[in-house]
Amino acid sequence: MSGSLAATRDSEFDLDALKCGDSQAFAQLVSAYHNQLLVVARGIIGPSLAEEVVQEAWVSAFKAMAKFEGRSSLKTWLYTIVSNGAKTRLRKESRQVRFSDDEQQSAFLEGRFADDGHWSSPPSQWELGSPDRLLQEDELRACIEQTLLLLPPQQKAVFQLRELDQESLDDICNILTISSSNVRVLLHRARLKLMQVIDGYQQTGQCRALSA
Amino acid sequence: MLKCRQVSEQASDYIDRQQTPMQRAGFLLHLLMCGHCRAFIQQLKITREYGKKIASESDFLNQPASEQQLKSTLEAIEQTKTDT
Repeated sequence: MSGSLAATRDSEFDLDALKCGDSQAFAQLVSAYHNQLLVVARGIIGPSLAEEVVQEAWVSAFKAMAKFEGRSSLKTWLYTIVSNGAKTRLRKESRQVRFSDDEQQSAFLEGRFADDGHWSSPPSQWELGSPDRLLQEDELRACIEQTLLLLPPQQKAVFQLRELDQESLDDICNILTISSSNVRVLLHRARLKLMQVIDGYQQTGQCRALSA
Repeated sequence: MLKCRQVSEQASDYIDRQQTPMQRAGFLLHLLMCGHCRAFIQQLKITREYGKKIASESDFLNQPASEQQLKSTLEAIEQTKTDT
C-alpha cells in the first residue's frame, strides 16, 4: 500500500526517533495528521465516535511504531490503524458501514436531461478555462474550501483519500469498507458539487459554498 | 447507445480511466458526436485538477491538530506508558 503523495511527506518526520518512542517526534506526527485521520474515521463510523476511535488509533500507533516497516507511507499505515479500530468498534455495536446514498441525483444535474437522455440544459461556456486561471480567483477559492469542508462524511473521506492523498482505489475500499463502485460514485458526487460552485462563479462572478 | 445522462453519471470513471475497454470505447464514440458532453468532460477535468490543487495547497483543509487535541492525545499515550 502506498499513496504517492503521502509517501513524500514521510521525510518530514524523524522515523528513527519515532521508532524509539520519542514523544516529541510523535507529537509532530499527531499534529500533522490528526484532523485528516478524523475525516477518515467520520467517513467510517460517523462524527460522534470518530474522536474516540482516532485517539485509540494514536495509542495503538505509538505502541506499534517500532514495528513500522515502511512498506506503505506513515499516513497510509495510520489510516489502516484508524480503519481497523473503527471496524472493531462497529462490530462491537453491531453496526455496519452503510453506503450513504443521501442523494439520488446530483443537484447540479437534476432536471437537465430530457426523457430521451439528451441534455435539455447543456453545459454553459466557461471563460475561466483552466485550473491555473481558476486558482487566481480568491473568492472562488474560499467558496470551494468551504464546500469541501461541508461535504457529507463519506464523500469528504473519499475526496481526501483520492484527490489529496492519491491512495489507490483498492486501498480506499479497504480503508472505508465500501465497494469500489461506491467509492467512485462518492468521488463523482463530490466533484459535481465543486463543479456546481465553479459553474455558478463562471456565470455570475459570484459564488456560494454548498453544504450537504 | 450511450445517452448524455449516462455520460454525465459515469464521467468521473472516464476521466480517471476506471472503465472497461468496452465502456471507454462507447464513451469515446459518444464524445465524438456530442459537443455538449465534450464540454461537460472538459469542465469535469478542470474541476478535478482545480479541486486537487485546492486540497493540497489550502491551509484551511490541512489544519494541524489543535493544542487541545494534541494535549489529550499525548496524555493518552503517557497513560499507556504507565499502565503495565
